[in-house]
Amino acid sequence: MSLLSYVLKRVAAYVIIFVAATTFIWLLIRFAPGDPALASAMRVMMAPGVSYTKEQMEEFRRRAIEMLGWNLPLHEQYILFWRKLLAGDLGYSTYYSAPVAPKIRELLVRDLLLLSPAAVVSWFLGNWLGAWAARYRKLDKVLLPLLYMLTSTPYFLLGLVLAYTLGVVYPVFKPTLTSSDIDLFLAAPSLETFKRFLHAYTLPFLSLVLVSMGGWASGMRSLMMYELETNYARFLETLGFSDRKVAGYALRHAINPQVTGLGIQFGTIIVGGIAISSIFNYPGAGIGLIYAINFRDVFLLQGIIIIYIAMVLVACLVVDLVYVIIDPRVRLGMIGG
Amino acid sequence: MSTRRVFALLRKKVSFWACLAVLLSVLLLSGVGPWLTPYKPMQVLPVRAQPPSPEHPFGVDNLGYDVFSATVYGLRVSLTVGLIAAIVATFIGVTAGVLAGYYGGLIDYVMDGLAMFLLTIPSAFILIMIGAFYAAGGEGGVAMSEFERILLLGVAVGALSWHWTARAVRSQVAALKVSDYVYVSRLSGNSSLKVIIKDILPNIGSYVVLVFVIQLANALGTVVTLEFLGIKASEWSLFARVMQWLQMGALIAGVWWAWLLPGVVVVALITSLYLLVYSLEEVFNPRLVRW
Repeated sequence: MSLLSYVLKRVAAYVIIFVAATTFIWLLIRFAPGDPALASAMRVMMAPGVSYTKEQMEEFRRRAIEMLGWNLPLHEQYILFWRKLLAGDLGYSTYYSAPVAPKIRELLVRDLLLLSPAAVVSWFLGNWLGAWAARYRKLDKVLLPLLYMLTSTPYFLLGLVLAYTLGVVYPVFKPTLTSSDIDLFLAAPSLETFKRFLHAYTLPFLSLVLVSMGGWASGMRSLMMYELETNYARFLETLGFSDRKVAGYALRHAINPQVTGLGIQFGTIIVGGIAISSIFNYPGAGIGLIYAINFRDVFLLQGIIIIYIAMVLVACLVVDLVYVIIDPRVRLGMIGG
Repeated sequence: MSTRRVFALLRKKVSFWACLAVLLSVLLLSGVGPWLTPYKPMQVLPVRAQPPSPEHPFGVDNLGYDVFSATVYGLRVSLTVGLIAAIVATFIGVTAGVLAGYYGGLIDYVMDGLAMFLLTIPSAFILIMIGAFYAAGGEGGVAMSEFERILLLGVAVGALSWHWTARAVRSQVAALKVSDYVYVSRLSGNSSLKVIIKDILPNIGSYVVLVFVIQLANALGTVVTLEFLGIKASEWSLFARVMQWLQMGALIAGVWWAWLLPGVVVVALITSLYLLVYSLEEVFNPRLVRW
């Protein structure tokens, strides 16, 4: 099997997953009790705080049904949904009083700024720590419970602990991360604005990195221990290779599953990031999502979820492409697809 | 491995007993807690934002709720949802894994596709949708009763997290299927069902126990995060009020006991579950122990 067909197969698989997930979400909303989508569409038309007569409400309802296309047969509604989605129309948010799509673009850029460095840094740190823990018994005794404790901590809880200790009690850092902190640095990158950026960025970044690092490290630890027990590692040892060299070869094998997991972990860290962003008042998707849940802003919720799922799938695809580079068996067409 | 041998190996493991003690005390706390506290979870007290004291062991939050009783009652809700989720996930995972591993073919293909779907989609998003639109009811919709919400969330969490169990069980069963004793069993005229129940399931039994505990730990983590995001099974779920506190400035006002103490209980619970699995794995799979 050639490299091209491997790549095409991966792309096809992710497209199928995206279509299936989006369809599932559409069904969930379409058949939700109380028609939240309809209520949301009606709320867009109505002025807040004004009471309307029954006839006016009926008129709003009729117009909302027409706008959503709910007077059409079900399969045409589905096609209409996809046509709108592909045209970039994700509906109208009552929270932001704005179309959802441009709003999400704004949130997405900010979230990526926080999430992608956190995902990458925690991956490297976690694997590094896990490999060390697998090699040294004394270190392992201390590290292991600590790492498990970190993975068991919900992101929001560590965020709260860090925000309170290092942000409020000992105000080394700022317990909030506002858009001006970021925009100032991006607009005029200088040492001064960078310091201000770091001052606010450190705590949310740290809470994401630490929790996610715990999972990588405990995974890497067992993978590495397994590899160090294999025959080739034993053989290298008997040949007199240094521990460092043997560990280097073992790492080369142990790292493969960790690379595949990176794309999937991105999905977990997105959810963590949503919780974190609401603690640090970060203007990412988190605050919008929590509002959307509590006030049933259906289109915002649907938009965030669809776009973020797409983002996870893109991350998975990127990881698959990276995997081609690091695993010669895939590159030479011996496995995969 | 005989039960006696397992116990002999476990006796020397301090971490195992420590984790078991933590786990049992948290379970005990949620079990008998309601009889330890005179306050109901929704009872507003005349005092606000009181630090821990003998009368209020976990303090009073800035809405006037006793944090200890909130923790005890909330723990019951979260644990119930987590247990339902773990049972559902383990059941679906093991069933799907055994069927896919034993029969292969189309079942295997479908199972693998579904597993890949669940693996790549952040399941929290789907759970948020289900929680926001189905469990909460809201305008025009009928709000579910507490029992229904607990059941719905538990089943939903479980139904979205069986994938890794199914894959792991599948590979174990596929390996067992081609072993000699299974051939003998089939040659002696046993039906597939009998082979699965009598010959294959007992061999993966200890693994299934471990899977159940991991599923419980994972489910608890998911449930707690969902509660924070506003998807709660009941009004007094463990972290259902954290968002409200934050909006009231609990962080700046220093009401740390309201979120930290329940948090410590939950983290202790989940960590002890993971570490229990780890020490049991060491016993069942001596390959992990080098020293």
